Amino acid sequence: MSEIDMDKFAVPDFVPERYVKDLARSCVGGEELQQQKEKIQNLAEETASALKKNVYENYMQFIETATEISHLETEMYKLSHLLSEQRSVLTVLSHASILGNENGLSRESLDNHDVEAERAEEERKNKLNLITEKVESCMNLLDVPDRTLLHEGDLLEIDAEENTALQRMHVYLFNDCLMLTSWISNRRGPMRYKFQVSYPIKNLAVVNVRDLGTVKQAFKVLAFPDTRVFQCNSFAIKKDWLDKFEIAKKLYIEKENSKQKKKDSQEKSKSESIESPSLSVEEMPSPQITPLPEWLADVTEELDVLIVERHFQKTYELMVSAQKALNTEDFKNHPQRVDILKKIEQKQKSLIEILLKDLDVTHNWSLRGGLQSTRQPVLILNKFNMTSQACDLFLTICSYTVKVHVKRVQLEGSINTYVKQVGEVFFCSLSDALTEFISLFPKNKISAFIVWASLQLRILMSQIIKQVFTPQCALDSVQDCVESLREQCTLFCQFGLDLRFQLNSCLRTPIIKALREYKEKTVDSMKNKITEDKWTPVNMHTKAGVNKFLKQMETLGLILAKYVINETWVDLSSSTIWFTKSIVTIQKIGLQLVNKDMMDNLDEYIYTIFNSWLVLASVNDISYAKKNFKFILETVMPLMLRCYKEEVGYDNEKLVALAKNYGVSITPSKNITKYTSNEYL
Amino acid sequence: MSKKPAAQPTLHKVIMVGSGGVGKSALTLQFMYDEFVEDYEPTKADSYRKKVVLDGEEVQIDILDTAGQEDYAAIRDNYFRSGEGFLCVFSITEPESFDATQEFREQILRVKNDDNIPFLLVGNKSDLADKRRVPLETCRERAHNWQVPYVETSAKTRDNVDKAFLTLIRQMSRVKRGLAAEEDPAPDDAGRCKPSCCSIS
Repeated sequence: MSEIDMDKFAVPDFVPERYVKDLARSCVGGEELQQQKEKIQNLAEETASALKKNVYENYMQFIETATEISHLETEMYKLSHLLSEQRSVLTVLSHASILGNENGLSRESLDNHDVEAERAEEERKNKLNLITEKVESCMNLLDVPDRTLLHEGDLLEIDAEENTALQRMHVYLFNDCLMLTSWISNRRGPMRYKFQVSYPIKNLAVVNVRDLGTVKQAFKVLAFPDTRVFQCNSFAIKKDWLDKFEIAKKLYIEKENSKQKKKDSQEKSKSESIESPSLSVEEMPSPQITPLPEWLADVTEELDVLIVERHFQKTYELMVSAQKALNTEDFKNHPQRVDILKKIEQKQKSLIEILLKDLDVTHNWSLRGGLQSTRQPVLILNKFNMTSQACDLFLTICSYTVKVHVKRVQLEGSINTYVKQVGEVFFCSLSDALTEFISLFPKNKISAFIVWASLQLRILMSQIIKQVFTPQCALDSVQDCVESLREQCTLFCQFGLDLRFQLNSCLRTPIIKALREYKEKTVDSMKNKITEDKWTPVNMHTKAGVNKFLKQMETLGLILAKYVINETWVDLSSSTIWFTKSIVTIQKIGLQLVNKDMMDNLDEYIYTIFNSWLVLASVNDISYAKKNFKFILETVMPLMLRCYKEEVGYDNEKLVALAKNYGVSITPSKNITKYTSNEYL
Repeated sequence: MSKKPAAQPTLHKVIMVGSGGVGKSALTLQFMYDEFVEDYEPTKADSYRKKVVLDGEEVQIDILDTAGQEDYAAIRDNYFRSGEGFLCVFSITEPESFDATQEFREQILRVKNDDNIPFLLVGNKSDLADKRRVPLETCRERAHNWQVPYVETSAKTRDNVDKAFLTLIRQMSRVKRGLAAEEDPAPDDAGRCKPSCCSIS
């Protein structure tokens, strides 16, 4: 009983009490019990960790599966989108080729009120779909392109011969047919009615039953060979039905009439065109009219096929060659010429529509193809003189890609690396877009790109500024970010587009703001620093600490080795060190950050900080404080002046004036190219 | 609903055809309810049913009163298909309506595809003899050409109204009672001649 039988625990009717009892009975002495307890404890721990591991593993798998699923979902979505698009293209095409000539009027208005019509179409489809859902084994309501529901309602069917009630019906009247459905008595699910029969309107005759013995408010539907009699609940309902039937009939007649007219005119033209070749056969030589070659006669069908197969380039070529051929002397007077040209124009319209849709980023544009996928549609659109639209759409796509690319950069680690990456990504996308743009569009469009690029830059900068120029962000990391952006921008100049001015103008306000905030912060804490100062040398505790301090100062331009006393002490007060760091930092970084137009602000900030320090520090009478004051005036001040001049090329006049006020003699800086270490030693 | 009789009397479906305003509805209403409606209101398509005793046998007659103004021939076809007998009505005061009967006749024959379909040519408005513009001879001649009976009626005075309907129904029941035409053509022929003989001017 020393080993624990794991299987025991797994039994479904495991009872812990009984197990413990058994254990207690079989174990001899407390020691063995202790051992058993330990074993069970170990087991519990092992199980727990195994469980954890399992959970973790499952968790990872779950996450993977979930992402996979979401990927698949988007794929499916895209696919369905594509399919539905294809479908709409097909219906449009079939409409155009089969019924296209039939109602030119409605087509025209369709073009005009495209959006409205589309919405109405959507509504209509929804309505029909709803009906389809309600009716069991319903016929395909959507197979007729412009079918609409005119009326529906419950009616009682009466036996036409015997005047007795037969069944309850639900009747739908469409503009082209009447659909009879019976009620499902024990219905389950969404189906409420069962499809019985549908009669086309053209075979339908409706009779108002004036007198049918006891049956009131009835009407008859004659659909040879059937005669169906329906009873309504009220006179108003019957009147409604009869009126609706009347409407359906009128619509049908109208349609039929227009069809007839079209047919007549077509037949006329056809008979003309038939006549002419037959004439030429009979009367042998007929030089005026040569029959169309086969490819030209079938050109519209061929164009349809090409559009469906998305051979847009070929479609375009065929269009052009067909148009060219039709405009030659051979076919100038051909009876079908105008007709074919009109049809080609129609196809051209639909082709342009498809191309524009392809380029529409809101519609279904996938990043995967990259910008290259826009080439074909753009080039064809250019040929159709649609350059501006193509350009707009192309730039929208570019905006989209830039946005997506920038979004993909994740804020990990320091802000500096993030900004650097974002800058890289941004300018890379920009250069991609630019090269693509130059290859696609004529030169006169480049201004659009410049406008677009500077807009993009502004958008990007507004985002970056929000993240970088925060009060929490140190001045030096701001400098890093700005520098990397400037560097990228300068690199981008190689592509022939200089955006540095735009970049700097975006940065101007935030930089000034950052410097001002730094100044305010420094001035604010200055008083505290001075009052809290004990005016003694500062202990750096370790040698490494001292070295670190010296190195820090060296990067600021100060060699302070001679101020080190007793190995770990620095012979300067804490506030002096703090001020030295602050003032030198703002000048050093400020000079990197600002452009010429911001120099005034920087000068003023430096002056304000320095001046307020001198005012505060000069009142102190402690001798050590005086020594520190002297250090600031004689060491830091000249260094600042020198660095400034070196960097900018002229003196900081405000600071010079301040120095003179405090009696600092400014060493002539002619021979100084770089301050040597001895000078401050 | 209504109690179901053991055996329904035979149903004869009659269709009133003719140009607008010749009095189809007036004839129907006179036959149905013995009343004459002065106001004219164009009909779309109304149906009536009535039980009549014909030669001692009770039959049902279903009258479909069609629109004379129907502007689309294809729609008219649908009505005609359901008919078993036709009353082709014109107004004796209106030659155009008489001319139109030719067209109706042709359409009915085409739709029913049966030259022997029970058919009656009815010249209505006989009460307006002073305004008569279609000579009786012309009417009779046309009926003779078509081999159908001719009846002149007045929906206003109820003159010959029952006769017109009953003549047609008799014809129809004869046709229905079996295609006796082949076995015994005599009654058929007699039926054909008789009304034309009795037609009253």
